[in-house]
Amino acid sequence: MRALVRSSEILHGTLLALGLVCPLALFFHKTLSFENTDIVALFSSPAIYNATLNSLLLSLLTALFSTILAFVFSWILWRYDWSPRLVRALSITMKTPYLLPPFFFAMGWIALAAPSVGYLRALYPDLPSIYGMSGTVFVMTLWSLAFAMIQLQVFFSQFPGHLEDAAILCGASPLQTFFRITTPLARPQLVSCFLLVSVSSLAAFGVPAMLASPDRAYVLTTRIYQSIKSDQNFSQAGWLSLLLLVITIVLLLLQRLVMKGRHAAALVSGKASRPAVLRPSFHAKSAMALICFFAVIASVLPCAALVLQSFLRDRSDVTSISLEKYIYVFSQIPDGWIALSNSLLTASVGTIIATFLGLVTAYGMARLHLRSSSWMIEAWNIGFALPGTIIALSLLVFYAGSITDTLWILGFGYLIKYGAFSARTLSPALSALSKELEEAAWMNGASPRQAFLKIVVPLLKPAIAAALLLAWVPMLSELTISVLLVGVGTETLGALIYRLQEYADPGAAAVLAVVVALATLILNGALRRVSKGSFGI
Amino acid sequence: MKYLVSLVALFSLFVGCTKKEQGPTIWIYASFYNHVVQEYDAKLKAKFPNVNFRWYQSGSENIAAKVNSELLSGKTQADLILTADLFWYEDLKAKGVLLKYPSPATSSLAPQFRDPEFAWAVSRVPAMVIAYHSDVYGDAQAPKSFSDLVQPQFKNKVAMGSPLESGTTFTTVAQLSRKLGWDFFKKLRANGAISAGGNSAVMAKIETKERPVGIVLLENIIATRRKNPKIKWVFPKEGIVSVPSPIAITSTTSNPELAKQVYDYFFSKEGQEVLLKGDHHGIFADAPAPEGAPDLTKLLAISLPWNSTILHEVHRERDNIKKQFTSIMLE
Amino acid sequence: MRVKVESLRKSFGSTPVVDNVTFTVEEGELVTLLGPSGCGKTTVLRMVAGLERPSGGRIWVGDRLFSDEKSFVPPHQRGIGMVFQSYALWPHRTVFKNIAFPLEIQKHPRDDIEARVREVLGAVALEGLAERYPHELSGGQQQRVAVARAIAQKPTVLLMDEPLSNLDAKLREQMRRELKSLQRDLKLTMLYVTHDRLEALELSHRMAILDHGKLIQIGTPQDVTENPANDFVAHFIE
Repeated sequence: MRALVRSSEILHGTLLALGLVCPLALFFHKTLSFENTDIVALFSSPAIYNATLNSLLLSLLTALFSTILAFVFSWILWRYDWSPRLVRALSITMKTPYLLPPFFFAMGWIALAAPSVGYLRALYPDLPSIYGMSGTVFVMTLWSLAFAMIQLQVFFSQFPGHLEDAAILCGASPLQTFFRITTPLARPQLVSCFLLVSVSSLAAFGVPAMLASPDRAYVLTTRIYQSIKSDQNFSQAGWLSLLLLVITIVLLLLQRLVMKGRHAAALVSGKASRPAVLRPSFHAKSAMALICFFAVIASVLPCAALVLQSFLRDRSDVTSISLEKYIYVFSQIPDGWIALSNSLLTASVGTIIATFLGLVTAYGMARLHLRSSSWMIEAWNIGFALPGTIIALSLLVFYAGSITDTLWILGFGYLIKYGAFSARTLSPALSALSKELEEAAWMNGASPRQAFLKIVVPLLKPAIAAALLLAWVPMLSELTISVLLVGVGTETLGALIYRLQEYADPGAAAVLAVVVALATLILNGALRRVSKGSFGI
Repeated sequence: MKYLVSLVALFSLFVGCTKKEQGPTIWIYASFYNHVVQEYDAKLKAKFPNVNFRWYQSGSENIAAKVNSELLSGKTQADLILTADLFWYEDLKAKGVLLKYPSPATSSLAPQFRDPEFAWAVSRVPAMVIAYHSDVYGDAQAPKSFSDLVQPQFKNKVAMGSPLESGTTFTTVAQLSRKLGWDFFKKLRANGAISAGGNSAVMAKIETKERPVGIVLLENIIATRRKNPKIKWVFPKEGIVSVPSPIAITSTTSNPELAKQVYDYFFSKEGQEVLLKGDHHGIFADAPAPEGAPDLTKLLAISLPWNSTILHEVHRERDNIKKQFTSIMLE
Repeated sequence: MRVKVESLRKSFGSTPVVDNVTFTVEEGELVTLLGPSGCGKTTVLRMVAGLERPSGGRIWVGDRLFSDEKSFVPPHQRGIGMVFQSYALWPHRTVFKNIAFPLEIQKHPRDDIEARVREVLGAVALEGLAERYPHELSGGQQQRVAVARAIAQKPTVLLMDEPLSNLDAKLREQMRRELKSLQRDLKLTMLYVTHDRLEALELSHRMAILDHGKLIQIGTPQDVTENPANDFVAHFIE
């Protein structure tokens, strides 16, 4: 077993060196050594200044709104006596967007609220245009709400509810307990959630590209994309990436600082419990109605709009229901099948490699206590935190002219960005597995490798399935890395959907998005069922 | 150690999955629409059965970006390039990337449609006009000229492509800035016009009435009118913008003789007929015009002038024009 | 087979946990390791099992040297059976499959496996529960499955790590008797770790008392109660 871990570590290290360390090093070396770049002029130009400002605005506002909403919503769902089925249905509806890429929701909202043609215009002609920074923040907030609710779930599942009971017995109203007891205790989790959402919104590309760029508002990621694609200005792209990276690092360091020494579990001493649930008051019922409204706005409405759009022959005529776009996508766009098979192949191979390495590394860390294994897991976490744009650019520079038109470079990018999901899912699952189960196998004559295969792997099956799904889903419709890395013959689903949406045929884009979303939701449902609800969303 | 060996073996299996092909391969980078590429692909395969044709199909400026970045790292993979941005071919020629081929197939072309040193030749002529949705504007209200688009009745109604992405749009911007001055674009911006994507994106916006008026290619309008006859075109009074779109062979092609045969094919009768399927105007005046459109001679007669002086001037100003346009329309 | 432990030492970092422990377990004998928690008794047991690597000293079983400064036989090659405090039953395998595991690993023919599993199930009075999963069993039944699994491969030595500590008082008493008769009937060589002096007094042929990693006294229950080596032993046995 040690031999297996050690040999796969060599492979692992090679992958990280070739996919992350060397490309990043070369990329920054090249950026810093570009001659005749007037850095002062670059950073003082209003275009760059505005992009930086917009990026910060997008990331901080999104994080602020979604964290507050998620916290209030989670508290209301947790605190009052609602029917369990309602709570379950609501939390699933609100968390589902996390499984789908945010740009699907941008597409849905374009269909709903584009100027003069959005479906909602028939009902509310004066709806503000979805294009622009405010529309971008709106859609990013609704998507991040799911992310924030998942982040805060741990807090509520481990919060000692009797602390609220005690306050109620002292005569506090539920609202007072919320502000005086729960919120102060949740502060580190709230700040951490805020910072994590801001890191992910800062790296967002698809939503600002679809919603802000048409209104001539750019963020750093869309500027970098433009520098590469239209201006061919690699040095500008490099410097902007550095700026993006610095902001990301600052946010992440703050997050570590806030959470330092604080595991969610060690939040407050005392056992986790739900407080004595309260009968919903009138205010609570109104708040619940608001949550239902948000669930509809955040998840149901944009998805329904995408589905509707995929069935319309003429996008401006809601009665022209037909299968024409489906037939068109799967029989007339040769790129459709190429993109589908490319994405399936890259995502599947990437996921299998990530899960295999994640499993072996988690074993190395949790069981053999190898330092190298913890380093590798740390390296994956760095990859995950890096904006996809930077990963793609560094690969592009490092592999210029060699594997740039192959699926390999895409696979590298996906693996670096989403590989962390495997180790993250598997190492807690492995730590939770009693070591004696394995020792018992050794005592019964099984070699460490036999024990691993016959005892550990079968017992980790649900976690392995979850690790596979969690890495596979975002890779399947990845956009940020793909738009920069797709080359001749390596079109991917994410890039194709983006191209169709932006250039040719939003209806056809909707068809592909619906197919991807459906596959994702079915797999997630199957995983939930198999793991009896402990994995999946 | 044996694990490492088997892991490496597994890994190389993935590598080995890449398909090996027989016979020479010809890479064509083309800014055609999909169905035109498919038509050409089928015809070329029939004509050259032993050759593998591979296509990279995208907007002209995307192809330019692709080739430029390939050139940064040595050579381009493309054997032939067919896009709509003639000025960029001048760049490529200056860099020595184009193969000079005095093809007999192009000998009858007018001098402004053929490089005097045979680095490129024009194979088709798309035409940029104005389209409108007749549900929104009756024939009387429809714009009659490019200058009409800055009038208040078209406020927030006009769309055009982006010269950073579409080669035909770049030529249009270059020609209109010469004819009407940058002031025209400043007024266009003030009137709420948007510039994004390529011609399909503009057409999609006109069709959904999100932007019922647009500067777009005639070929897109003809194709759209087949399913939606409410979309109509106007030939603007100032003149339409015809966009001579060339073919060139790269000097780094590994099969120069084969590439030349393919090059000639695009000028053959059959090769030019395929263009008609895409509602394109071919380069030969005697060929039939696309459905409902004037023939090439008439088209050129109502076009803004085109000659080698304009070509060289715009070529020199290429980056500047993009910068100007970006600062006026895109920032 | 005879187990011989000689000058066994183990330290984690600079803290010695087991300090120069020497004793033997004769063939067919049951020796308990008794002491307060943290005295190092479980570590001694795990070193005999091969689950911990000793910092020094030697371990023999029969004529085979399992561990010294240079050599170390990994646990799966020692042929020792072990019952864990948590039972460590594999939740994804039925009772039958749990017990059959060591035999599957040794690649016995299927019929032999079947017969042997039935035999040990009979020995621990669990006939009829073969197709159950561990979570469908009571604590006492799980304990018996753990014992059955440990003896299925006919181990040279059987190690038990506080096997009864998770059972209630009444059941503990019953299981104590059953283990005693099982040991006698099968003539098992057993090393048994406990912190419960009653258990030790009732089960042991000889008992070894440990404190702070040192072996204080070893002898029959009668020896130890009548002639405690020091105050600690006297207090502990009381």
